[in-house]
Amino acid sequence: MTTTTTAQAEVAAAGTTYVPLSPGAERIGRALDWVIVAATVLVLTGAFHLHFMLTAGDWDFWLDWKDREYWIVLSPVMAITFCGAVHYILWQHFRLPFGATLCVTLLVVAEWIVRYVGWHGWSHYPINLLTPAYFYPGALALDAILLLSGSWVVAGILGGSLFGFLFFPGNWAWLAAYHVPVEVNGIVMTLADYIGYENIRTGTPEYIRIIERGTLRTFGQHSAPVSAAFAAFLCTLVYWMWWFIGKWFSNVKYITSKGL
Amino acid sequence: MKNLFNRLFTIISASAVLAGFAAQPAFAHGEKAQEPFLRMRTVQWIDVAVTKTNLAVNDETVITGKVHFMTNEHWPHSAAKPELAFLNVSAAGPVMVRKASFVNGVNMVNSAKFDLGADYAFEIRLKASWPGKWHVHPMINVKDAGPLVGPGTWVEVTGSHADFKDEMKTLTGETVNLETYGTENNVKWHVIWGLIAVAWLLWWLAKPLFHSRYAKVKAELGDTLITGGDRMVSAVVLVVALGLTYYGYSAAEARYPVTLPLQSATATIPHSPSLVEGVKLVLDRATYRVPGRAMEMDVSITNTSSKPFRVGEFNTAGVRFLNPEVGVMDELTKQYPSYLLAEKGLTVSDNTPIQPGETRKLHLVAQDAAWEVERLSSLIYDPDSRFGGVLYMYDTDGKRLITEVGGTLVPTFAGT
Repeated sequence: MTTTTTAQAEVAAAGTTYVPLSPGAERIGRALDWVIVAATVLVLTGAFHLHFMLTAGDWDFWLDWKDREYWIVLSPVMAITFCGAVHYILWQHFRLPFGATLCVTLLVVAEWIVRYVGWHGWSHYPINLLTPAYFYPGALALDAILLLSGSWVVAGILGGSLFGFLFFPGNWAWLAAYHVPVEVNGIVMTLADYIGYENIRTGTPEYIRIIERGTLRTFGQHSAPVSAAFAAFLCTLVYWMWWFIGKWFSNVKYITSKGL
Repeated sequence: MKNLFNRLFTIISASAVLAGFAAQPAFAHGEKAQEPFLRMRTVQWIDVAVTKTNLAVNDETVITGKVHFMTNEHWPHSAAKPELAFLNVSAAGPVMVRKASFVNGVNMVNSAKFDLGADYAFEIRLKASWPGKWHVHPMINVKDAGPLVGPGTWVEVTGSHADFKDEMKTLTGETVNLETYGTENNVKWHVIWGLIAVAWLLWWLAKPLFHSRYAKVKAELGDTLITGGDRMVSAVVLVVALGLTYYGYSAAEARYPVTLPLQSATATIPHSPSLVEGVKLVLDRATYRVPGRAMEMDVSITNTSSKPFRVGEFNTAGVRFLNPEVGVMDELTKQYPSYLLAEKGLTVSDNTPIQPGETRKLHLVAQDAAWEVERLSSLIYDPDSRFGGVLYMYDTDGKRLITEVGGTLVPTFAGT
């Protein structure tokens, strides 16, 4: 006598060739899950942190680089890259929608470790100068929209846009405090500027962070929303591009005997 | 074979342990590694002094001096001109914090344009933050040319960093500790968002992940893996992400109604009187004798001042070659870092005073181990084989006159 499982019923309904796993295989599969999770965490943390430091670099690193033009555009655009690729892998192969949140969480953990141990512990820079930005608001929204829509196109348009657009207001919660003005020997600076000035950086002179040179400042002194809107647009495109990079990385190609 | 392997393993292990014991902290910042042409032909540091070299945490010290930008004739073609440059400090990080800096009295929190051939007086105020022995240099960062490091001085700081105070009053009336300001709030927001993210991840990690899901997805049953509960949680996460972002932004705007964008101005520095006066110099020939660590210069010097003078010093890349016959061991010189001071390093063929209007040919020899120790001797391997520096002349009243010297350089090797 045989019993019909829910999975088998689903298979029958779908007319596919799915064979449910035995309880033993399920247990082994679950154990393997944790091996894969551990390996993924290590590889993803290292790779994404390296990628982000090489691309967003100083803009994300220092308090006095978090400006209202480049930082707002550059950081989310460089961060949504891995999110798009991991989204493809986890969603297309496993129907798991947490790729973006996983990526940005691992990135921020790596950033805190490097900055706290290396730059604060060994080099004595204050933590407030080194605090990394986070991408949680946009990543959570992106994950949720992928699941709710089930579409990478919709995820790119809505989720990608939110990833870029929520970055600045999400971080302003802690960053605003450093944009309070101070007077330094007759010159007005923000606290962020002065904290950066005080803490000597031999290889990061003041002139290379003179970044606000464009004409965005003519937008009624509201450059940040304009930059955020631009970041939202770019994030959509970059998300789609990296979705396909994820596809390229996660598909197995076989060489046929004819090709040998 | 096994015996050999064991021996090798023991030797390597023991060496590694011994190397660990023998390792010393690194204090320098690679200043000697900079190409000689950059150190000799860009800026010359004059009268650099540090007011206090033994400090307790919270004490302040001031680096003062003058910096002469070499004229276009000597400034290397491969280095960008100082169209935008910044008065900086080379130190082991923020072991001393910079409270203020000035060039010709102008606040140098910003960068500025500097002119070739001009002289600038600078002042850098530093406050001791971390105990230790630190090597501190004045430095000019030139955009597209990089850092140009001045002479370094050892500064010893005692006490505990726990006692360090660094407060400032904002224009909105709040007094803040710059060392810790806002850190608690930064961590709070990271933790709040991090907990939400972890909760979202745990929702999924609690389910079977890869093995069984992969099989279902490949059987085109992937959509059956998403439950009503998953959709509900996703909707909640989306609302929380949007709501918390709005709340955080609004709360920050309410708490800090007055904020400015990061500042990006540049400074304008007025000219100060030129240090280069009263002397006209023509370089006839210069050689660097490798085995003798000596630079020899044949020069024609014309006294265009009103008083007789003698050649007292050759200064390049922060190394000072003094002519002992002239005797310029003043207070500033006595305090100068000894490893950059060649007290008997300059020999002049004729030390009798050069009279006003007189032109005299002289043979100068600047000789000292500093050429090797400061890695300036490698200038003979530079692609353009040129050198630069300044000569100090002292008149009968003790007044100092300065002139640039520089040009092509021919190396002479052993046996030539």
